[in-house]
Amino acid sequence: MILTLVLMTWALLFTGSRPEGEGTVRLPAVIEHIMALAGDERPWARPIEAADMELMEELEESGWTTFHAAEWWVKKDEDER
Amino acid sequence: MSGRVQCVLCPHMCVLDPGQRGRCTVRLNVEGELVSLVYGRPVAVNVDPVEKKPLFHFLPGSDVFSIATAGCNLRCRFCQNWEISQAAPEDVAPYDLPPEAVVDSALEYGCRAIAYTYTEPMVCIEYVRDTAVLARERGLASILVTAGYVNPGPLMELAEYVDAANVDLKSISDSYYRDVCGGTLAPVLDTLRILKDSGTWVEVTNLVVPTLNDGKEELEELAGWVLDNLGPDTPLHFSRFFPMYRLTDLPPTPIETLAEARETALGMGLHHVYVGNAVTTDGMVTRCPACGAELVVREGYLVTRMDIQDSACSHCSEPVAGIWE
Repeated sequence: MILTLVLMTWALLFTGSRPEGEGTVRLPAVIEHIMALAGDERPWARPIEAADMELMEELEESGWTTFHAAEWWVKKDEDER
Repeated sequence: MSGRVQCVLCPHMCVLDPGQRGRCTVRLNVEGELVSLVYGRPVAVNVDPVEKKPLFHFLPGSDVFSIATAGCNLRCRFCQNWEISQAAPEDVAPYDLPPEAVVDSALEYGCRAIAYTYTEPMVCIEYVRDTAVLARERGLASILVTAGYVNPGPLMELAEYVDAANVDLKSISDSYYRDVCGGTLAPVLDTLRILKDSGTWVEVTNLVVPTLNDGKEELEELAGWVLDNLGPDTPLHFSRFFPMYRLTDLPPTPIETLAEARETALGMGLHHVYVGNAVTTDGMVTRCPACGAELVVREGYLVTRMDIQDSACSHCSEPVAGIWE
């Protein structure tokens, strides 16, 4: 996300993007691509959902599901924790 | 928000607050820790012929122990296994089958490999990895049947333990991936190249869906990409679509479409092109790329003739790509 912000700032400051119409700013295509990859706005994909945590914990206790640590490929926002 | 995590396993890169789960539905943020909900909990367990994966050039005629957990990071409107792939873990009763039990069962049933199949194995990568490591220690191969929608880092780590893969290349069009599958094309192409470079035996499946991805030019482009990037010896399976899930308004793929796609791909230079999900005479036969002799003849999933010796044509001794023994 930090990389996204840096690249977006760089793009707005140095790539000559100009305001377009009334208050809209056209971003370079590459930045739009990065935003699409990093953002949650993906109408073509399944949405991110809030789980019913009470149910999840019940299922985990019963053995139906597992809460197996998935620390292998995950990033945590340490600054906000 | 405190406790936010980002799952970087697949290209969706889901950012999850506590209590949220990813687009795959099986990776959940529990109080700031990402957990897998399906580790050791497959919802489908079967012994299948390896030809069903389909893998035609990998241990032909052998049985593979096939497992699947709930969940998928794509949502293909034509999914043939949607009852489990599009289900959340709480929707389907699972088996209790930790990695050790999977390997024990596979050996007990006389299987030569374990296949992670039916749904998307990448979303339970920890389970696949741990099982594959144990399997290799005990002489079993590991097979991925995947849509390949995963990031390069995790894939490269997993590929070390994977012997063979059948990757769905659903289309060569990015808009098809977005509109029909809920994903994007580029990561899948990367997956194919990475698996090939890692030494994994790779076969490619393309499900030909009437009106959506069955254009002659598109199928040519797809075959051309396989030829240019994976090589002429990479088997390509054109698979027949049947109305399913959210695409019940389309007819099954005409056999002629599949046969024509096969002929075109063969004419472009691919050596091994097959027709799947359909009964055809030539579409299931492996021929020698040099002399043209029939080497492996299949009836359904049954291998009825095998004329390959020491990985070469038993008629002209031309090497035939694959893992045959």
